[in-house]
Amino acid sequence: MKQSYLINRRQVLRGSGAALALPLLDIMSPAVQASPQTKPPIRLGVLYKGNGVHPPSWDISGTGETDFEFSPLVKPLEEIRDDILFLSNLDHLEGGWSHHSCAVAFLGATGSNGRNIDRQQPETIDQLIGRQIGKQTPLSSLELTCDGIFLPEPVTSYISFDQQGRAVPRESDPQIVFDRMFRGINNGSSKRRNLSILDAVLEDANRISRQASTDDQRKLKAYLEAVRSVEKQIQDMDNKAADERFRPTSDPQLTRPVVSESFPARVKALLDMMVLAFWTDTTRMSSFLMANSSSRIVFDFLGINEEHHYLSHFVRNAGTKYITHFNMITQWHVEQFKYLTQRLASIEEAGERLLDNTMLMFGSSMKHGDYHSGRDLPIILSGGKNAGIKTGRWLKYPDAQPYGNLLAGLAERMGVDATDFGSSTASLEGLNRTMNYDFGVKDTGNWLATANGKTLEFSGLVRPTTDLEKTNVYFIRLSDGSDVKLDASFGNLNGKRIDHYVGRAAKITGPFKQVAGQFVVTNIDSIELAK
Amino acid sequence: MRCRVPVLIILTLILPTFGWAAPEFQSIQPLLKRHCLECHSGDKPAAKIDFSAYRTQKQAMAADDIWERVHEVIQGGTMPPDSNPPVPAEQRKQFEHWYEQTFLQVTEIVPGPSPLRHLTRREYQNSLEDLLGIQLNQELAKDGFRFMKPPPSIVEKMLPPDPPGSSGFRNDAAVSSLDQASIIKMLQIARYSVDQIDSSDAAKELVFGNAESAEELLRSFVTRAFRRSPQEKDITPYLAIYRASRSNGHPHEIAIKDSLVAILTSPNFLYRIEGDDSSATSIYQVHSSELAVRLSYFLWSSTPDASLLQAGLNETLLQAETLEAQVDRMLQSPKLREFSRNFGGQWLGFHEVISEQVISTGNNNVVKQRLAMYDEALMYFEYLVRENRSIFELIDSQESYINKMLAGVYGIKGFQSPVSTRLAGREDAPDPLIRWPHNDPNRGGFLTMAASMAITSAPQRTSPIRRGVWVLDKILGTPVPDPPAAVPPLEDARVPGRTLSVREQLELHTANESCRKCHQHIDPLGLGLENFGPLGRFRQNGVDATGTLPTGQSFTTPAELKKILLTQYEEEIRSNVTRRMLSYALGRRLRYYDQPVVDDIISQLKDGDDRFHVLVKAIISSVPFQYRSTNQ
Repeated sequence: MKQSYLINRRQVLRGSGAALALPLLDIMSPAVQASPQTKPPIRLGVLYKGNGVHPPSWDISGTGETDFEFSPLVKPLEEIRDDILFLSNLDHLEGGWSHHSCAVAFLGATGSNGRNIDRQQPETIDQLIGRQIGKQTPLSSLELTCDGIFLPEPVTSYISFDQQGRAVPRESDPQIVFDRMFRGINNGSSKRRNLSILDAVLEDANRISRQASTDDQRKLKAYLEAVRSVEKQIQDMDNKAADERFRPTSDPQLTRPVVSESFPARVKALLDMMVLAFWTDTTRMSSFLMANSSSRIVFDFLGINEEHHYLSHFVRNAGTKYITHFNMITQWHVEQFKYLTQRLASIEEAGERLLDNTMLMFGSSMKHGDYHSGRDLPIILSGGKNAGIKTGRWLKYPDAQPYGNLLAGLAERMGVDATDFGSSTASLEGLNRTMNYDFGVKDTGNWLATANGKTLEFSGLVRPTTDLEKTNVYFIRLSDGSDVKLDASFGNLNGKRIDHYVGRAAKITGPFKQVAGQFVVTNIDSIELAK
Repeated sequence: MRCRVPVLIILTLILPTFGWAAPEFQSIQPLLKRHCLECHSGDKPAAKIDFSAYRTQKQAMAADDIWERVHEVIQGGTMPPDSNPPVPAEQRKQFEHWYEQTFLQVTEIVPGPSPLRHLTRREYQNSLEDLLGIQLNQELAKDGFRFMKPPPSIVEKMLPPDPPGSSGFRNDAAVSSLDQASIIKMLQIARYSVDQIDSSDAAKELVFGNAESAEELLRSFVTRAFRRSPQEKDITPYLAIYRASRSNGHPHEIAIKDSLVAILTSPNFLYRIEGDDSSATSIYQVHSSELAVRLSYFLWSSTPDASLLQAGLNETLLQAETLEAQVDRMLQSPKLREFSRNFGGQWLGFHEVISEQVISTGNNNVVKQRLAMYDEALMYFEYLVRENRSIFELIDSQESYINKMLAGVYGIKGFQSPVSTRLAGREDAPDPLIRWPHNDPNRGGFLTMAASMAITSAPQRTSPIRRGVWVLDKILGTPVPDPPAAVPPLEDARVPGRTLSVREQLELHTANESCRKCHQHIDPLGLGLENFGPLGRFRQNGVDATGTLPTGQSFTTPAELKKILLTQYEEEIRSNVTRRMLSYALGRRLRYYDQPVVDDIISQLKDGDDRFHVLVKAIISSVPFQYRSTNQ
């Protein structure tokens, strides 16, 4: 062989990669075999996006639980307002927030144990739920992602950790998810063959693990348990009584998804798989990591050429010009949450909607993308009416609540007690009923603007513009219903920490001009909370 | 080739530790009690570090990474926090003394732990291919042409990628775990792979051979799949499958295939199981077959071939000459490419150049370019190892591997592709990489290679910081810590009406004391590579690639920067290459007790003209590579 031709497998390039022909395995129908239950089960789906948000564009403003305006980032949800529950003032109380502590925190409500995947991490709520109620369904939980592994800090790339503290592998190929759910190894003649194979493997594994050292035994034991659970899964398929799945009341068309090279198409297909998993009661617990907690995805299909993580550092990486791009990405993620909510709402289940039996949570365990803050996390719920989630509201807790309490509240609705889970102290109050918290934002007629020479002194409710292209514009609502426009430099807005005031009533002074009858303030000289 | 350390071990085992008192954990307890326990103990210890958990020297030694951090913060004065009284100098000295004696002045050579490892996704695929004589990566499309974008193999499609462990490598034993979903998928993959045997005569010959009975066939396959000579009870369960299948009316071939699927799902295949010698009182050499397996997955990321397996089975591999002959043979095998792919690719990061996102979303031209960049790095690393080049040729060399596309990127004139010009101009024209000597001092080696430049760039622009961090971490082995949490915005210091150059922007944060600590090391290295664009293309116009390292040496071109690294950082580079390769070979991160072994390998390497073969052989003959200990 001539040296020069050593690498030749890609020399002739033509066409694009064809789909791989997978082995055809027996298809089992999820719909026909289960014994009918009368009451649909409750499901929980969570969507995670890393890298935080641009807080002033995220925070909602308003005066009460049902009297609020959608911020630019959550604007897409206005259309499904009645199915949404916004939550404000959920905090992570542990200090030292960083990218690598965030991913574990989302479902763990506690910090990570280092940045490496080989350290034991705390068990996450989805795994706890799966462990306790997952035996009733073919899959105890389903973990999805559309992001890769961030190699320098692998722990950022997983949001699910099992009881042994190990990262739970995620699926990123919709076809493989489909195959896991509906093209198993479960029936027909292959069943007996597969069982006899597993028997032999178990015999082998048992023998070696008896000879192994303690440390090795632990690993082999995990393997043994995995093999046993596969065996049990196959055996249970005949045992109808053991199958407590809920029979879908409408027909899920089981079509294997096509492979797409387009990122948004793949995300949509994965969301559809989550829907199908809930619909067919293949699992009741699913998580989807859309962007890992230090994600480097380039959203080129949105016309953005910078990496997600780079954009999230909008302060240190030169400000305004990137906030728009960062916000477009966050808004795109919100749109995926909207799609999932709408999709579940469109499916009939026992005379209601699948969404009524499914709680969805969307958000990030980091608030400020650049400062990595862990307070007032960006979290939204949808659906879950029959689980006791009262939507169509904005719950703004007067005192910061441990974020863990939300996870405990969701777990409780799944029939799992998690009141001492992570940072939680109790199940979060208010998810199911009107609280009428005092938002501390009351228009008593003193939101006024007074010109004083070249300076305008004014008080009012601070709201960001909904125009994603103009992230340094804010509007301050006065008592007479008019707005003062604030159009200042990024450095000024950031230096005065405008993000602390959005959604609250503030008293501001600064130079101004008048444009078409409107006050336009061009710099914040001073800002404080209005009394 | 012989394992030259045992004499030393025996010495250190026999000789008591004369001359210095054994370090006592008691000596630092007053410091911990007075300055640390208040926050770092109880139900919720600060930073999850609970000092009350350590009571004895042995317990403390098991947590060396904690003490490394303690050492760092006490040295740096960042702990205790300003609100608490500082540690008095006397106690600090005592801690220093204890730390050095415990972790730095270790002289005893030990094998360290050799935890159970399962095959990585890549090792699993390679092993299936080698055992069954099949190809799982489709190379040709149905019409006979090669793929523009190679589709994933069934293994790559179905199994999720392995995350790297703290060694930085995916073969790290600490991350091994197989879950229920993987077992089901591996059953399916095994079934699929076994079915592929039918499509190739060579595969049929390899698996079925001329075995006269099912038992003989299975014995031979089990030997190859489990990589050791099987006992009777190893065969029994698989023979039982065959017999059951036959008695259910299946033909011979179907029944055999069922057995093969089972064998390929067995932990004996999926894990690299090594026997514990419970009678041994200290350390002992692994079995000859186990050594063959260690060798094979180290250099080939796959199962031993017939010759290596045989040498393992008949124990000739334990003879120095046989071992050396086998290693020499392995270093010349085409399978050495897997060493380049997995060790080189994961260490230097060049596998990131063909990350899934780039390949799945890039257009044909981008993909072609990326694949060429990857192949260049892959072939060059393989060349260094195979042809026994000096490890310093990682930094600089006059050899390279390029094709027409890369010649364009590098601006090389007169490159002649061996492919007929008849095909020129067609998008699907072959563009193979060939070895091409050059005399451009700015080029050569990984430091300025297109793949390295691409993985350290942001999309469409260079990032001197990433490049600097990459050189510090990957080449010099001195990674930088995380940036501090509160980084001041750069925009505050902008000059109105003028865009600052990258250099000026970087100078802004070297002006800040807390940033300068690391950026004085990072920035000059990165800026020194500014002549290379985001895809490695050389650019001259307006680029200022001069700089001065914190040690005072100045350079004006990438060539001079390379020269400084090669002359001033020789020790760092040698130590880094050694540590990375040893860590990869052992499948675990190195700890303080590995230092004597590392030092020994470094001295062999230095004596051996810094040649790659010397390094590989020193690692293979080292105690941790050849030995286990009962006391883990």
